[in-house]
Amino acid sequence: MAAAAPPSLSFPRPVFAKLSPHPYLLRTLAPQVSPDTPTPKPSRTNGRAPHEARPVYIHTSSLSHAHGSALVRVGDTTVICGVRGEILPVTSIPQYRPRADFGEDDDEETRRAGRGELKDYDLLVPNIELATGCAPQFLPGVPPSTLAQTISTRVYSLLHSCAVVDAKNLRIWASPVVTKPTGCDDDADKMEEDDEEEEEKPELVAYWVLYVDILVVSFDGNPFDAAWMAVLAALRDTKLPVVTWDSDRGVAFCSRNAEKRKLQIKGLPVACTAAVFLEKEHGSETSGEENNRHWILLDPDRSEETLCGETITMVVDCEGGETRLRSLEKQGGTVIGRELIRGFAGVAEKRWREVKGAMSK
Amino acid sequence: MAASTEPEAALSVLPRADGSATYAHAGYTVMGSVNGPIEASRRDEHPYEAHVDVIVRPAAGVGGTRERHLESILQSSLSQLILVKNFPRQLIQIVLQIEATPENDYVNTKLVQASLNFPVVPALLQTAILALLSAAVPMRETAASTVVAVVPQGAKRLLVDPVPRDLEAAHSVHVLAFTSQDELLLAESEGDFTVKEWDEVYEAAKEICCRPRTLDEENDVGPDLRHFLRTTLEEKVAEDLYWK
Amino acid sequence: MATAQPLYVLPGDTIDPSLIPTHKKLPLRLGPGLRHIPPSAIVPTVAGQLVADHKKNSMWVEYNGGRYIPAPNDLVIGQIQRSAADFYFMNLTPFTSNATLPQLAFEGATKKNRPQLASGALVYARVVLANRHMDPELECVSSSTGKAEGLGPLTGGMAFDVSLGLARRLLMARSREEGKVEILELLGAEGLAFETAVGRNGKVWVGSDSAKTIILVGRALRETDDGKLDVDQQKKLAKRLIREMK
Repeated sequence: MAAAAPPSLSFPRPVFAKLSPHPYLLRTLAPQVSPDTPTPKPSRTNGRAPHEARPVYIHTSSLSHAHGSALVRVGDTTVICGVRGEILPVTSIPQYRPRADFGEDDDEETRRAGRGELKDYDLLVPNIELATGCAPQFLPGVPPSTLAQTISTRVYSLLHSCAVVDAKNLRIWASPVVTKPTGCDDDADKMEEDDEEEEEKPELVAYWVLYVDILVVSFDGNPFDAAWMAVLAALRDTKLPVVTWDSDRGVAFCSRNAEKRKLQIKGLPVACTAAVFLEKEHGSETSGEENNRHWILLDPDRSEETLCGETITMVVDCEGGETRLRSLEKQGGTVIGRELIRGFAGVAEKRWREVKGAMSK
Repeated sequence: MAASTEPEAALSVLPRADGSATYAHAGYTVMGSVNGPIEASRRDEHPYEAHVDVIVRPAAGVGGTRERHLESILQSSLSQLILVKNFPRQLIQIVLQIEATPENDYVNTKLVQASLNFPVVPALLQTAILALLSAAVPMRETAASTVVAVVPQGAKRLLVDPVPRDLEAAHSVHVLAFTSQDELLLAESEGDFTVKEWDEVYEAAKEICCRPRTLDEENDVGPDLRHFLRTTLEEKVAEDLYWK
Repeated sequence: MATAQPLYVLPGDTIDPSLIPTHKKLPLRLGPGLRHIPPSAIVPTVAGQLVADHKKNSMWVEYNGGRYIPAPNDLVIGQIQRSAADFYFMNLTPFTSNATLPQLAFEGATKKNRPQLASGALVYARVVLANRHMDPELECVSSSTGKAEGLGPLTGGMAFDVSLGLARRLLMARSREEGKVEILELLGAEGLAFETAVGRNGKVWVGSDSAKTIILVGRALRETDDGKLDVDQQKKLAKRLIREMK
């Protein structure tokens, strides 16, 4: 055998990245200037610029058994979301309180009341699963991780606070609704013919409950943005069949060939997440300016997430022309202050346009 | 409305824990205990820093996904305040028991486990900080936190420490926390708002969390949390060092 | 200190530079509760009273409470958890990782002749090494003189838990004048025969031939601690306890 090659003290890039990820990312973000090479552009280990997000691919209606579904790919993070509607008769709601009037206008009061309905009767049920094998840290047979529980809480509260689904689209009526602009007018008309002598008031008999199941197929960081995008795309894709109410038997049914109606979705809130990467790692603190640089990495991947403590998520909706913030979450550090949050709104707007483009494709 | 009520706190109320505190403000009462630094389980061990374990227990029932989310918010914030690098491979455990929440006038509410409960965050954070100080866990700095709601109309557009009824009507609800160095530690908002509105909220919250100590305040926006923290701790330290 | 008013600090407070003692020769020594952030900032890490000693050029934050954090040269009372080939594993406070006590770190111990201690035994020891990345290491012998100097296994008697503040006061060189704790002297003056060992980790061991005396001394310490008694109250307490015993 030939003599072993002299031990080398330099590693190829992947080994360096694996051994000491923090200095590796730092070195790519802050490349050293040497005279013989042109000044390289600061970039992340994945080749993106700090403020560059991964492209989004959305494919809808891929699940044939769900009422609405979407597959979202953001880089290597893949999330699939299915929406399935189930009929919940009001008789099986334990604390059901029939409301006297359902305002037909789109005024503030009605919307708020509708939000109450969604919340009180739990008409939107999101659930997220981080599939075993989507990333090495998810092991089979363990209870839902903190991450999964956190994302499901965030999706739930965002669904309610954004009111993307209006309660009036989920109500199922038994008898005519004259002034209702949308919903199940057709079957209501039929019912009208049946008992036209009794000038019955329209009666709310059931609700649609939307089960929103999110499955992370492949996890490469930033699960919330992708999960929310999938939820939104799936809801926009949702078509609920027209329900017929059998007043004699007191059951609601919809035939296989029933006409399907698209669920109306209000607005297009898009989540945009970034993480803050600090120059110092485990070293001692200094009050000076050196070693205190930071980078804001938009749409962090899994390896970046493990190196970053502070995160910011902003949910924006520019549908009405004006940029409205629907949610803001910033935690885990003190780098992002007021100015950075203001500036981040612009970044989020840009992301919104990208996602909107992907959605309408 | 509830802005004028002063917070109340008691320190070292539990004899067996390393540190403990109760804190009551704006209808919320929280008791917290801190133990640490203690030995971490193999799973939580971090080679370079202490693991901060926060457990939130609701006033009724067992913790669900909502509590997990609150825990993760608090955990990431408190890790910034505690000098975690001083205790590698150790564990600092913080248990927060919510004892009372403000009465909701709206009767039909059921216990929605999953929905977020922002307004409790300041009470939890304040309790945790008081308990940590009581346990003499080395900390980088302290923090103060408050909740602000933007309501559609009324005398004040911004409501500090809103009651549940205001929350129901609010356009947006914001929780902000500032460190004692006036840096923004935590910002959680939901609802419908603009950057400009958020700016106003930021100003109002900063006023409460970081206001310099002045005696005569004309437009009293809310309690002076930093001053409150200091006086509470001074009382406790003076009592502890009675022999000096 | 120049000001009579005690100065209370919270973590992260800025300390006025005028309060930092300056000395020509001695380097500035920082005690518990303070940390130095290069280049020149000194920041408290706990809530307490800032104390500066201008003669010794040192400053620290005085506080009471919390969990004992080992520091070199502290005298502690530990309990043997288990024994390994060369070490005893000692417990200083509940639920913390064990401190190690080499089996040869006793007076006169050799490979053939070393103390046999069962698990559960109490040992009075000094902290040699307290490094945040390692388990603390203890010794029962002075490495310079080779003598035990009062350290070693504590046989008989009983250990009582007290607050860290009281343990510190009991360990002061002049505990009566500076620490304002006199109860042990008072009880001794009343004719009780007992011996004590005070551990910085909030433990006081009391040994005596009479079990009654041990319990009485322990009670006196606990009551002094819990009731935050001053010297006069301690006198009353000592009288009362002696009367009750008779």
